[in-house]
Amino acid sequence: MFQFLTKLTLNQRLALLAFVLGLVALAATPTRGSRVTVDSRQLALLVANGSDRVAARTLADWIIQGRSDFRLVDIRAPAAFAAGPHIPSAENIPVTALLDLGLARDEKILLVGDDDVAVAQAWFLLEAAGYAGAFIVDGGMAAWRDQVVYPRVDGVDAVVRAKLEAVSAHFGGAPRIGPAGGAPEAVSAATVAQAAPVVAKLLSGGAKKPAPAKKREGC
Amino acid sequence: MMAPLLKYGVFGSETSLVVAFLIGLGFGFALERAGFGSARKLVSQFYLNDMAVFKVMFTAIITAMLGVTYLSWIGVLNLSLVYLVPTFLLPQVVGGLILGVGFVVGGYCPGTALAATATGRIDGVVFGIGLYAGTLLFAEAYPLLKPLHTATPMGQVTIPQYLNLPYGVVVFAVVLMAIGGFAGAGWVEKKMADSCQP
Repeated sequence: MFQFLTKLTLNQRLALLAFVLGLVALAATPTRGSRVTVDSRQLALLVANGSDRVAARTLADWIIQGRSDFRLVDIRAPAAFAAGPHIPSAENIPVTALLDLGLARDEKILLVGDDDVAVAQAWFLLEAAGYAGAFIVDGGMAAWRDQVVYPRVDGVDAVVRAKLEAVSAHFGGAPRIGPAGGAPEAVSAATVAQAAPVVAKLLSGGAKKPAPAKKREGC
Repeated sequence: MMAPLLKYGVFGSETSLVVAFLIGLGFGFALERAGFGSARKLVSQFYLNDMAVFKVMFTAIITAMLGVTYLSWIGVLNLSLVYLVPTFLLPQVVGGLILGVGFVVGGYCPGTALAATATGRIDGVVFGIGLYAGTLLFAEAYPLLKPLHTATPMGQVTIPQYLNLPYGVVVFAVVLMAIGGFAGAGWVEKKMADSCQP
């Protein structure tokens, strides 16, 4: 065996090493297997960094772009889900059924609901079960309503405002103006119809995103 | 210690610039050592005389791939936090074609042009100026180009996910592709060298 190795050139030995490593990797499950240990420090860091959350407006952008690399899971009770408004493409999966659903372990799973504590608990449940790509939609259905469907637009600059109006019209809402905490204005069909062409224009035109300054990634 | 180091807060954004600088130095050094600071060496890839570009790049790919696989397997790296460039099929095909044409005509790709600039090659400097001028042009024309730039969004897709294959199978397949590619490259080089003999 050793003699065989000494006959090979360095390149051939490296190729052999790569082959063996690749062969062993056939058994690799880099996205964690079924046995898990919860690393408390790691979870705490995720929470402290806020990297376990996705903003409602980011989610809105993803839906409008037609991205398909995430699953949006609404954990409210089926009755509440059916009765109230829900985010387009959301699947209603109660917490009790979450782990039996065959979600892929490396899939991006976005959790939303109307009870922040319940959503956080569902997130922990997924993390503990080895789903490394679980995220919380920040603020839940309330944030979706107040920041995406009926956003406040007084006091923001014109470009941001146009984007907010377009996004809100895309989801059948309308922006709010007026005293803080006021109830959403009734949306007339005319407002929505008027704003609809703006969506297409803004999404293809050069509108600035209102998203907060984010760390640049990639090259 | 868990990776990605930045995401787990092992260091902050300021330190990450220092880390990026050090990695950049290493990358430039490796490019220059591979001979990629010379347009002659790079372009001979396209004449099939010298397959060094193919071999070096594919070696880098499988080294990184095996490293990432094993690190995440032993639980040191959280793959779900590694940034993936989102796939936009149409603009990336168009961009790849433009880059390929630029590579053959200009003799450099963006990274090697900077490596060539560092060693004082004038063609590298000119290519670098063109690189920044093109970037500026793209930025100024962005409102016109945006429909193309944002066409066919697929999100952050990976091959195992897309083909519904186990992760390890894709890793092994890429290793086999690389080894087959290296053998093929050696054969092509030998063939071209023979045909050039008088």
